[in-house]
Amino acid sequence: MACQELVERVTDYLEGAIEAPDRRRLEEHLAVCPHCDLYLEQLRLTLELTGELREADVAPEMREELLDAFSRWQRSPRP
Amino acid sequence: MLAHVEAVEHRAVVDERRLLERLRAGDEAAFTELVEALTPGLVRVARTHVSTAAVADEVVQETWLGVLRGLDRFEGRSRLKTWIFRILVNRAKTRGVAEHRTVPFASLAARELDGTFAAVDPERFLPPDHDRWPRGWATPPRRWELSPEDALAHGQTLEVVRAGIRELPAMQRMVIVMRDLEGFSAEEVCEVLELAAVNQRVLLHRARTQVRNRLEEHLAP
Repeated sequence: MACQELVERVTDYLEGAIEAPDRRRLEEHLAVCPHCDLYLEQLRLTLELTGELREADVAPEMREELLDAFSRWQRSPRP
Repeated sequence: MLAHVEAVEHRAVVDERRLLERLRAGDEAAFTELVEALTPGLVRVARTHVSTAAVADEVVQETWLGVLRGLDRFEGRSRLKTWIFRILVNRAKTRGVAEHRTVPFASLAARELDGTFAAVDPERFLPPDHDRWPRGWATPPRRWELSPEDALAHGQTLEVVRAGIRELPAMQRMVIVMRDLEGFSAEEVCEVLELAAVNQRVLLHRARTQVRNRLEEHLAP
């Protein structure tokens, strides 16, 4: 597999959405191409860093309003 | 491995059924639990769709009200989380229309899937007729200087990721946020955003590789 093809197939590879022969070609290429190996490593790192963006708690005002809404819902007649 | 994944999935389904029973019984702690767990993610996804943080918060509030209204009708055919994000996305869509700034998802996706895309600048590869390495790297990626121990530098790196995501077109932004931040599966994202599997993957590919490129500019200039 050419490097330029690999960089377009990495997501299919990571998603497990790649036919076995293509996967083999891709893995064989990775085994001999340190540049593509590094590219894949950097893409994995990108996903990891993106995952770290999770923060932010629920704003207290929103939580209060939602709990009010919940108690109204509790009291409302339901089928 | 697969058995383990299935076991985890199974447990999630059981936990969810139990949570649903408590919610329907009017258990406030169960509602708080769910709000705490999902609101940050709902806010992030809402922000990818509407113009301001305030509008996003409103959309999230409306979503929870919609959840309460629909709880008795929820049939459990999809996961509770998927169902709630679908409500959010529909609200956000309505809100976007009201703000005169969005078009339907389908045409947004079509627009973003249109045209050619290169994960890496074609200039960085050797020509197809190169005698030794056709289409091989001419300018290979360089190692990134990452220092996780330096909190300040790490914070700056995360800011680059955040900015990179912000710059993406709407559908790509939503797909990457749901997949890589909120941990949705590909199937769940397809369901929430009404995307074909292959299109979800293409959007994800474009989003991830562009964020990688921003990191590269920052970490290996």
